[in-house]
Amino acid sequence: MISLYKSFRAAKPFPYLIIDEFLSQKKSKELLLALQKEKFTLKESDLFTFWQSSELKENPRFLKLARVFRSSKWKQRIFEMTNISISSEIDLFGSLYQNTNHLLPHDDQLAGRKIAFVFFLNTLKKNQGGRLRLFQKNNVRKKITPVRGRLVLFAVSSRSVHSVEEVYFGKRWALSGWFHG
Amino acid sequence: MVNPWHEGKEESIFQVLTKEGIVTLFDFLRPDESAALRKKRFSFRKKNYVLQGKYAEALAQFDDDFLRRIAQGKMDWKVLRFNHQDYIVRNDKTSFKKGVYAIYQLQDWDDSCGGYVVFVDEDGNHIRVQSRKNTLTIIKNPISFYVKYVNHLARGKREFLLGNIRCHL
Repeated sequence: MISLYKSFRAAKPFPYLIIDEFLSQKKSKELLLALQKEKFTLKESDLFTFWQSSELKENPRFLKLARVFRSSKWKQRIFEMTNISISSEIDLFGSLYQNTNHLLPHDDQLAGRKIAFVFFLNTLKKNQGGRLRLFQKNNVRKKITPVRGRLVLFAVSSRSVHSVEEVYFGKRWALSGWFHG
Repeated sequence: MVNPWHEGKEESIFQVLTKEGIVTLFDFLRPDESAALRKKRFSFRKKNYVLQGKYAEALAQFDDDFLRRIAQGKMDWKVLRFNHQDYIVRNDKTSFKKGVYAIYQLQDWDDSCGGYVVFVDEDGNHIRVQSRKNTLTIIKNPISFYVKYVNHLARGKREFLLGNIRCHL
């Protein structure tokens, strides 16, 4: 856990963690199948075009995951990994990016948000796009490829400028949200 | 410069702009003038501020008595160029200059490639500008605007003229 904390703090351009195999391939696949049963709405603005589910934290198909994320054990684990205290309040939704869908750089700052997370439910090749990109000033400093079972956490601050690269083909399925403080 | 069928209609165009807040003039320039403008070379400067926008711009001359009579003064013009992955986001934090804005389309453009222009009016309505070649759109007192991200379906560069005058109709 100490090494994860060090890794989190030392990460550039801002504190983040990549936890591969956060859930087993089987469980991740089950979550993907569950998400594919949800209704998605096209979200479109100057900043983004992608498909989003409704809030999932009370949804029976995702209750198990939501309970993990709201548990005392998880709060303790997050504190050990990041030195950031979170509450039981979370936001959890599903996202789907298809051909040309994207999310432009922004910092996620909104009252109460402490840590942002993305849990990838499928794997994309580099040429498919859909990578999570972390920025330092006006340049991409880190690209994180979607890999099934991979959980990405990052601290929300004025520095946490990130984007989702345009998807060129295929589909990018993920569960995303925030841990509040 | 202006297509003959628009000439002499400045007063009625001004009245529509004042009442409706937006006017769209198709086939604005004579075809030879429109073609000449498209061939013109500009000295572009790149802008790369990820939280605001990524594009290139150059100063442009696009002003005549016809436009002055509608906008009630001389407009400042620039040409904006967008490649794949370029955009301008709506940023209410920046001081968006109040006044009359105009977009002149240098080319036909497929909006499914992104790159389309949207103005937001005082009531929060999002008004998408026509992306047809040789079309001039004039809009009164928008509160902000954005240019949608240009996606990988785009073939070639997206260019249009953006005019502004600080006045209140």
